[in-house]
Order: sequence, then structure tokens, then C-alpha cells
Amino acid sequence: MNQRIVITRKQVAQFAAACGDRNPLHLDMRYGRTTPFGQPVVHGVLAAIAGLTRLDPSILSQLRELRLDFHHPVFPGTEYVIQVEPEEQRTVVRLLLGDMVVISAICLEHLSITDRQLPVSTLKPNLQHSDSPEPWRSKARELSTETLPEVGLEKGSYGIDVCRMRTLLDQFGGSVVPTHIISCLSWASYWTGMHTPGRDALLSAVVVRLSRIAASLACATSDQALYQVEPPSFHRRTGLVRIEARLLPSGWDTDIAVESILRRRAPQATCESVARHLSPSDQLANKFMVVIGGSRGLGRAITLALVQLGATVLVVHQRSPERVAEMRQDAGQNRDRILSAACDASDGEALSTVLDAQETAIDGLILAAAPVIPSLPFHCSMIGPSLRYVERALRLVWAPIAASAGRLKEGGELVVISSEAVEEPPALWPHYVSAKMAIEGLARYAARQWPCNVTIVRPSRLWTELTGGTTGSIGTTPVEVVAAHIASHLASNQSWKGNASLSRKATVLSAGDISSPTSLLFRKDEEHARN
Amino acid sequence: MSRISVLFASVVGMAPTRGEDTLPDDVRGWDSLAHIRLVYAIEREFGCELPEDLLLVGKPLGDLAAAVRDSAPGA
Repeated sequence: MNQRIVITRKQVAQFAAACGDRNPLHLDMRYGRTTPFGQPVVHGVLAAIAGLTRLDPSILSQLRELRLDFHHPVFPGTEYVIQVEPEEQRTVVRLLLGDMVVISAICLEHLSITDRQLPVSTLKPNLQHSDSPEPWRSKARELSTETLPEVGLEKGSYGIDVCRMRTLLDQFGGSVVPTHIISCLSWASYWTGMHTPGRDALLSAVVVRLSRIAASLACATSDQALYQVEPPSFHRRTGLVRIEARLLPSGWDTDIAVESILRRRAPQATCESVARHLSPSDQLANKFMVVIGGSRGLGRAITLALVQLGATVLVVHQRSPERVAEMRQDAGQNRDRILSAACDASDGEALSTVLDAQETAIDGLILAAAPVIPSLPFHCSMIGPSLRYVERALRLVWAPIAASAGRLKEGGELVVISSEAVEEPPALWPHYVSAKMAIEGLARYAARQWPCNVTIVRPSRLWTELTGGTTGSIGTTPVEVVAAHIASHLASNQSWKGNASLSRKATVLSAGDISSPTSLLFRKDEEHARN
Repeated sequence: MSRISVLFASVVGMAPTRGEDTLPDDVRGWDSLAHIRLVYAIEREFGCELPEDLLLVGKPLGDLAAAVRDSAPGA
């Protein structure tokens, strides 16, 4: 029977306190906003344990092997469905969003012979107290692709706050999950989030194999479990991290294999990184541009590119004054040409007030703000969340266009950022491509109805903090390249040179036009020379 | 079944439905995480390093197999 479950932020905080996994990805709103999830996410292990409470107590008491796979993030406040399916010789628990499997837990009453995907070590290491046990961490270790391979064998002792944990899990009702199982899974969460890989980890799988031993054997104390972790194996190019460990909760000997991904944080554009793709000029001198979402990602690169060509840019951001301050510092003598306004750009009235406060009319409006993109299956139960996403994305374009009415100069430039994905929609992004097509429609409306030049930009996959990517820059176009093309395209505006040429149709810059490092820039430079 | 197909089945959880022509859209479990695991498993099994453009999910299974053949004749 399927049951619904919602995990709250408060429960996430309780789990963090009970198990020690205080990774900022789960607790820190500010940090969460800088990730591809756009907000803190629920510990996968907490959601999995909540799912296990739906099992029959007899299955839980006889459990000898458990495999958890974390396919997608779990968001606090979102309703999921727990599905329990007895299969031959095993029971599978799934956490579903629509028909999308978010987490799966395979429960066996006997140890399987092999598991090719995530082998558990058959070594039985010496688990005596170490002379230098690993410290209990309250702040996540920060390992990188450089430092992770240097991690060696590590030992220590671990214990959950049983009382706190029980108080939390009681809120889910259902069966009581045995403490040794909770301890093993909690350790996997703690170790991944706080030690290896630590801060930038994403837990992707856990396998636990359990054997009974005499309760008195090898336990540090009754509520502390000794552990030993083998040196991690690390696949640098994909960020895949695998560790094998042995943990001894009271009365049990457990082998644990943990798989995680080391997320690589996208670097922010700088004046120097933009200058590698765009020569400084005065083509946009005395032009006043507004970049919505100009403090990070592609918007930041566009801001710096426009400044590089002599423009003065008002960066509209929601809550990133420190990022704009950083950009101004980076800009050196051009710092005064980067202005900052904190404003929710989806609020047309608030943005109107901001624009009214400016001393000059707008030569160009660039709409680079977009909400983070959750994976949402095309399913009846996802219509509501999908349309809410479309509205959020569309508002971030609609409101600024409406707010700029009468403030954008005749013959000025309006740029919207769409995506190459509209031509080849990815499976779990129906809401994303719908939003982008709606945005393109609005841009075409503006081109037809307003005396301005409208450009629709369809970049291919970018590597920004919101698009994530464990493989880093592989297969992506640098934001600086796209930004350089956009700035160069704007600089070629004929009406600014006194040759008004409003086409009343939007220009589409497709991925092919804006991904090459030089072609378009070369063409534009030639045009500039001719003119 | 080829060694690549066996690896694929063990990582993704089901056999490649269209052999080397199998695309991620053909197999529900072949998502970006499964692809990372597949790359890891292939590189370990064959002792090779796949080209960068194959680290991202999207290409047919045959492209992975061809890359392995190019790097390790006889695989």
C-alpha cells in the first residue's frame, strides 16, 4: 500500500543533531542557494529511514543486507509517495515523486553473493582503538579533487543520539527501525557529509551487510560503535567516490560501502576570464544597461562583458550584494560602471521603483535570472509543481519587461535567455522547456509591439552553480564565451549608430552561433570596422 | 552478450534493449548517475580511459563500446 510523506525542515534539523551530519547542503539556506538545488535538501538517509518505517517489523528484524540508491534530491515540504513491493527473496521500498523513483531501498534477509556495482570489502580489519582517532566533526571537511586522493585509512568511534533519533522517527509512525540499522545508515550520512568527501558531497548509494556478533565484542561503549574506513577510491573525471568501511554497533558486525559524488563548484566569471574572449573597447560607451540576475552565472559574465565594452550596468540581484561588491572590486578602474540594486525581479512594481530611481533611460535590458531547475516527471501528480515552476520562470521575464515599459529607449535592446533544450527537451524537464518557450513567446510579443530590438539566446549546456555538473566543464560552453557573443551582438546595434532598423521580429542566437570562441566575434568585428 | 552489455546490465539493472544502438531514452534506469557508474565500471574492467565527450550521458552504447575497442584492441 502506498503512503504519502512530507519531511519538514525542522525534522531535517533534528536528524542533523541526532546523527551529526551537519553538512550545509541540509541546513544552510545561504549555502543551499548556491547549489543546483537552490535550497537545502533533506538528508537522503533520513528519507530512506522514513521509508523503512513502512516495512513489516519481521522484515526489519531479519534484515541482513540493505542497498540504498539515491537518484534525486528530496526537498523539505514536498510530498512523496512511499511504495513497498515484496519481491522474490527481497522487499523493495521506493520513495516516488510522480512515477519518478527518488530513492530505492532493497532489503534482503540473506547476504547476496555478489554486488558488482558496489562491492563490500571482505577484509576484516583490526578494529582496535586507534592512537589518533578521527575527530568528531561539527564542521564539514572540505576535500577537493586534489586532496581527496591523499586520504588514507581512518578509524574512530561513532554514536547517534538515540533518544533524539527516536523522538524524530516516532513522528513518521509505522514500524520501529532497529537501532543498529539506523546507526549504520546514519554513519554513512555523517561520514559522507562531514568527512569524505565532506562539504561538497552528494550521497548516491549505500550498501550495508549485517552479521550478528556477541554484544560485548569490539564495542567502544554500548552507545558508541568503532569504525574503520579504507582509503577512498576516487574517479577524478566523474567525481565518483567510493569507500568501504566496517562499523561495529552493539551486537553487530557490519560492512558498509558508500558511494558519493564530489560536486565541483563552477567558478564565477571575472574580468580576466571575460577578457580572454572579448577585447576591451568603447563600443558601448555611455550606454546604460540593466542585467537582471547579473551577479552570478551567465548574467555575471554578461555584466562584465558589457562593462568591458564601455557600458554602465545596473546589476539587479535578489540578495547578493557581496557578489556585486566583489565584481566592482574586480573591475578596478571600471568599478563605478557597475551599479547594484537588490530587488525581487519577479515583482514588477518593486522593479519599477528601482528603475525610476535611475537617472537615465535604459539602452538595454538583459534578462538572465532564472529559477533553479528541479527534475519533474511528466505525470498527473506533477502538473501543479510544473506549472508553478513555469510561472516562477516566466515572471522573472514578464515583470522586468513590463517594468521597463516607457523606460527602455526606442531602438534599445532586449535580450532574453532561452536554451538549446527547447529543440531537444530532456526527459525530466517538461516544465523547463515549457517555461523557455513561453519566455520566447513573450520576447516575440515585445519585438512586435515595442520599438526595440529583441534577441532570444539559446545557449547549449552551461556550467554554472545552478546547473551543477559533477564532470565540471566537460561538455559545456563557458559562460564567458556566450556572454562575449551577446555583448558583441549588442554592440552591433545599428540604431545606436543612427541607422534605425527595427525588424519587429526577434533575432534568435542559437547554440551554434554563440558557442564558438571566435567566429561571431570576428564577424562582428569586421562589421564594426566597416561601419 | 558482449562484456560491455554485461557491465551495462549490472550497473543499469537491465540489459541494453537495442544492443549497441541503445540510447539513454530506451532504458529508464540509464540516467546521469548510472552513466557515471557505467564509465567507472568500463574503465576499471578494460583498464582504459574513455574520451571526455563520453563522460556525459547521451551517446548510444555503441559509442562506448567503440571507444573501448579503440583503446584496447580485442576487448
